[in-house]
Amino acid sequence: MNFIYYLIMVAVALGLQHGVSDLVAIAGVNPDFLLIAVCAIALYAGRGQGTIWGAAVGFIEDSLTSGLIGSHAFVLSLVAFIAGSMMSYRSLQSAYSLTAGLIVGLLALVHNLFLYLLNVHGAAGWLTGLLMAVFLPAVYTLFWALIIFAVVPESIWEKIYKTEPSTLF
Amino acid sequence: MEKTKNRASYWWDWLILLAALTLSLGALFFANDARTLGGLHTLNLEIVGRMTSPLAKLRGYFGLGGENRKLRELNAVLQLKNAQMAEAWYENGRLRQLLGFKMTAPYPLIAATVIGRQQQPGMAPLIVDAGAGEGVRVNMTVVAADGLVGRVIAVSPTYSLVQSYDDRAFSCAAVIQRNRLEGMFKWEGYNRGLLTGIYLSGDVRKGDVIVTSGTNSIYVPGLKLGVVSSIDDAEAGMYRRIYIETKVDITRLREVYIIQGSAGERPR
Repeated sequence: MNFIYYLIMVAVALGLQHGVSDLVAIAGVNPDFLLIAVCAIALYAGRGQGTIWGAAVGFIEDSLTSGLIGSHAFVLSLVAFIAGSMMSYRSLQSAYSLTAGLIVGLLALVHNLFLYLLNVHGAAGWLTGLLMAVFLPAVYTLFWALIIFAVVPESIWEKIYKTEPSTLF
Repeated sequence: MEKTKNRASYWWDWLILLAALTLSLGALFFANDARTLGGLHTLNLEIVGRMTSPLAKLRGYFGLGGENRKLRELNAVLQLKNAQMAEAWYENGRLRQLLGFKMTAPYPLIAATVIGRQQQPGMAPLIVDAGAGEGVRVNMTVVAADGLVGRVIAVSPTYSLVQSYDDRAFSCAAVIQRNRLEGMFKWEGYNRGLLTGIYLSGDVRKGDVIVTSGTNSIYVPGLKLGVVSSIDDAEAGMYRRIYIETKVDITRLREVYIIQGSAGERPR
């Protein structure tokens, strides 16, 4: 059953990322809804399932961008693994707010840095590049992650995650 | 028993990570060709297009008042220009007849709406709601009212993925309209393009209009790319570094047109 919730979460994130993320952009800086979704899954389901979802979402992203195929898959699976390792399921019910948001913000920095090194490096001055492609998008993603994790009531998260994560194998 | 289960789960997680990283690195090194993932492109584009298109209606409501005002002003200017151009067109036709030149008609266009845009610096393709069903093919040129937008890089039955000019991988042959000096246009990053390949002796002035040259067999010739905003010869070496202020605001694009044909084909 969890699979359906994760699938819906990823579908919504894909819709938001490609459909409206540019509408909430500030000076060309966008939030990364897909990263938030992948982290949300990994934070709840653990690093094993999180990594699989990260890789799957990454490959979808790779096929929709003109960047190097495999770059998003590599970074998102790595980030999901770290996210899953950082929080255990039991501590999540109470921590699905500030802590989770901060973890996503930190991982957004790692995610953007990897993608910058793999794809964007060399397109502009490195300082401007780091600021525009790594730091500012991470801060803005943190802002949205905090809104999503903290403003959405805990009861809704519990409803989404009403069952314990099923084992993978 | 519980301890053994936990240990197995621990190793599974690491195994999964290893598999995911191997797969993605394998793709990075060995499958980095759009054709390798052609089917996946089509499937994902169709799925994401369907998820994004309902949200595309939202895009229409943002800044509608301001845009209407600008469009009314533009309409007045264009009507005037259109009248002048109609005169020039008839005159051109008469002169061509006198000189025995063949008449050319414009390329047929497919209208499409931008329903989604990936927003990562350096790689931000657009998703538009016209696909193979409407006759769109890979490598067709995409334009807007102000000039070149990019080219189609993937097509599904109902949607297309467009590589815009502000993409890291974008480049196209371009000429200075005033004197036909040819160079290569690419995206410099963060709000400006760069024209390279023009020698230091090349006559380039601030305000010169840059258009596609049509010599790379993808982009049709004569499409506006932008105007020269500054020239930096200090660190140029053999070639001038010519910075281009582009005219099409990709972030605000809603309607685009896909040209049915390429530089290698004759217009119908």
